[in-house]
Amino acid sequence: MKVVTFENIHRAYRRGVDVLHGMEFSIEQGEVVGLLGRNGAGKTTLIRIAMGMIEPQQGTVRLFGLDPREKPVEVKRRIGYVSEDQILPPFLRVEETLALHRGLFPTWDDRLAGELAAQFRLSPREKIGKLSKGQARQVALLCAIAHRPELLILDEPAGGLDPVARREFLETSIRLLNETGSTILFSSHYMGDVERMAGRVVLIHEGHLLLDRPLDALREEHAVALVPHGPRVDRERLLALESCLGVRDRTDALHAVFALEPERARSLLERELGVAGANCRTVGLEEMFIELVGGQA
Amino acid sequence: MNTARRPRDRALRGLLYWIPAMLYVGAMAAAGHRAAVLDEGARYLRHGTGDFLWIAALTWFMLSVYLLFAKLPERAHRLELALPLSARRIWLRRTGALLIAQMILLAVGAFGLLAGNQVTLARLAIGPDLISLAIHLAAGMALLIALAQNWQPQMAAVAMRPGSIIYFVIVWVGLFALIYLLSTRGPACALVPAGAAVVLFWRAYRLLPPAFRLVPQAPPGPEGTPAPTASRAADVALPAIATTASRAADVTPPAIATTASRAADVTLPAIATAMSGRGGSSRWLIERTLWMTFFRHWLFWFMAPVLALMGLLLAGPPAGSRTVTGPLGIFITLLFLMLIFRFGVTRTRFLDPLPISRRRIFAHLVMPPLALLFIAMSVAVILGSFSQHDRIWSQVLAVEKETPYPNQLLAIAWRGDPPAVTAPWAESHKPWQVSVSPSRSIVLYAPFDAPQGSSREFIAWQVGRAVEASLGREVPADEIRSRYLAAAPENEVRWEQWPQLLSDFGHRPLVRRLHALPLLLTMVGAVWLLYLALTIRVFYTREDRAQTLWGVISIGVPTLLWMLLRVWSMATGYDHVWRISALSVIALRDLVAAMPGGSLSAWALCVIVLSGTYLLAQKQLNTLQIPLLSISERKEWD
Repeated sequence: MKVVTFENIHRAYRRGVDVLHGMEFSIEQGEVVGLLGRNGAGKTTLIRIAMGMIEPQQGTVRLFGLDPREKPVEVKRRIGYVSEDQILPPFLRVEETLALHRGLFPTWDDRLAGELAAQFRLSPREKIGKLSKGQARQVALLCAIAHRPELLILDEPAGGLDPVARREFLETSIRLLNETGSTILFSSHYMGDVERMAGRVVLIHEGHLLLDRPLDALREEHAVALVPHGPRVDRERLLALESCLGVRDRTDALHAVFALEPERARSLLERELGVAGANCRTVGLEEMFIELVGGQA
Repeated sequence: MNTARRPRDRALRGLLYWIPAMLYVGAMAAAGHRAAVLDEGARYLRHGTGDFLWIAALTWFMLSVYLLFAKLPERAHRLELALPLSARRIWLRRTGALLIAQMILLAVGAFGLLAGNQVTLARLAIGPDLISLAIHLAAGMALLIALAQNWQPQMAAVAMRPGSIIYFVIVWVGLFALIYLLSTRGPACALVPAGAAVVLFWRAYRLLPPAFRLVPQAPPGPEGTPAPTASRAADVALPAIATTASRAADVTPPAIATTASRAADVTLPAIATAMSGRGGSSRWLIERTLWMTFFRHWLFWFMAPVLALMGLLLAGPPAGSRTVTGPLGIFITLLFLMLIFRFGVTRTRFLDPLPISRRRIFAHLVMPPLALLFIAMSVAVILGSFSQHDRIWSQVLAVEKETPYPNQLLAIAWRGDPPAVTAPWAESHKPWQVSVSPSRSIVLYAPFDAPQGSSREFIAWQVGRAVEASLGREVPADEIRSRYLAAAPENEVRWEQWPQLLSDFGHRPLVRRLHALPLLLTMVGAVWLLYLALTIRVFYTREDRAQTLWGVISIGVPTLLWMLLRVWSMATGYDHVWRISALSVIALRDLVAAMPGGSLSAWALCVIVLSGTYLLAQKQLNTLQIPLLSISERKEWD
């Protein structure tokens, strides 16, 4: 069952400057999808479109088969949402914030809320406005997951948090995933977090969908080749090769990303461009991200 | 001091907008001054050149609003705190900017007043009272800034808590009263507040620390006392360092493992139990959250009294302040309603992630300001009916000829030829009248007027008619003549017992005045809701250029037209704008009277129109897309 579906989403804030351009993918129930992209790539816009906060100028978005703009309350009741710039009411106490959410979400689980509050060591009488950034984010996460949402949307949830708080945040999310089988869509710049959590990676670049692969496939079936500059080798020729996703021109060599295993990428380079013994290897997600995004014209 | 940085201070940056505004306010003050003199004559001219209370109050208000927008409580910007600048240097620059800005604005306002007076055909003498007033206002503003600088001088910004707000309000009101009183005693008295300001500035300067503090140094106290930021940060950072090593290896369940060292005095089950089902009624909390989201801000509490005041003036204006009624009053009211909405709607973004319907949000956004306005208007009607009826009778009897007729006793002659008032015994008098348009095609007249030379019988007959028309009670003219009128020497008629008449008959005007209320409410409420629907549709769903265009068209054009009208009226001598306002109010009253079913139909119409426009605007809010926060806007709720 598809939990989230984006179909040909276009969105611009200014005429002629598309933030999202024909975005199209869907998320199945139970999937954990990491949304990657540089600053301004359109991740937050896409997430806000999913939340029904922004309307796409073209295309459709469906959550649980519903239009979030048409049925905002029904959709949001089934979602947990945490974002970097989301701020809880500072004038409420922690216990009041929880009570507020209890009233808004019919599936609120008091036991889980109490358990998480204890885990986070939240003081019930403390006002949100007096909490540290990490604690406030913990309250936000608590509020987002204590109603056991079917879909958890996290938009840069760990931005600005220290490593301990970030780790706690992730583990709590993973725990929810394991317990309830929730679907998770999250964006992050911490590649380590994405590798830890996500089963699938969606990479957005300048409003376009650049890559949509399971994380395992990305790790094992993609390679970065360091191709020395030469008379027969340039950026265009590399990009013309089948399976080449991007080429980054560096002083030492051309860094080409292939949707192939290292051996096959090496063979392809030798066969098509006569480059023998190119350094081809699998890389971590962070390096892959840099090469892919940096390799776009 | 780095002069290149000086223009960056918001106190000086804001002058770009405030100088034209003050120029306009000054010019309008001249126009208003002249209109008041013409309307009220000797009653207004107390000290030879006029009663300047309202000019002083307006200027004081404008300068104070400017100080609020220039963030008077803030002594240092966060950027400045991070720069290698001493607190004294920052303070001198900031305070200097505030003082200079105030003086510039005051000078511009005075210039506007003088220029307006020059443009006005019937130029009035600007006597020493006004000069004295300007000097005192300058000294008063300096003292106000000095007092503000003496409140928590160690802090980078004064925390706006109930205590400090009360302090500033008391200081603000008290200083104005002092300044106004001193201004009547000559410019030399300005040395008192000016001297006090100098002493206080020196004191604040001496008390400045080497570097400003962001939070008080004192440890966190009981409820309401701010906790120091440093300790807040440490709350997380210190345990994190202590526990990272022990956490790195174990993944499940790490949170509990790490937190154990944080606050050993609180047991986990205790917190879990404490959290379960606590926090009060969810429904109440939702309402409270919505309310506080939209209206828990000083800007609202600044705008709300203005809105209430406009409501009071719209529905029950004092007889001598006619210019605030009618189109101008409605326009200003709409402007403030719009400002409140504009402010509230941007805060909707905080609620957007929550499953709260737009219908509910709309109700919380729109109903409180609308209710405030309606209550103010209703209160004005009720209070006005008791406070103004004495003026009704004094007008009828021409006891105070120099005071203007209240709108309640005026009628419209649409063809410019008001009929002569003829008593049954054929005594006839031409009523007091005034043209609305320069061509005299529409005329306002007083059908219950008893001009000079009227007989006792005629006056009694007119009073009887006025009582019947405004109070709905029939009183025989003979009774009025015998009980309330007396013949004075030289064949003049004196109104001897009119206060008695008020107590005898003055209890029912409320009913009469309430008749016009529904249409007035509808006019303001429906126009605003329609405007709101249009604004939401255009302003919040389109691109930047369309937003700007709409802003210009909807607010800029009416404002500009109004300003041009005022300049034209000043230049041509047609400055009785109140006539246009009175025309609209009287026409409204007549419309209600002409409606089949009377006020009942009017109320029904009011409910239908308001409901319709409300639903229309609410529907538009469903399409609203809250603009993304720009980096500069990413602040917390307050």
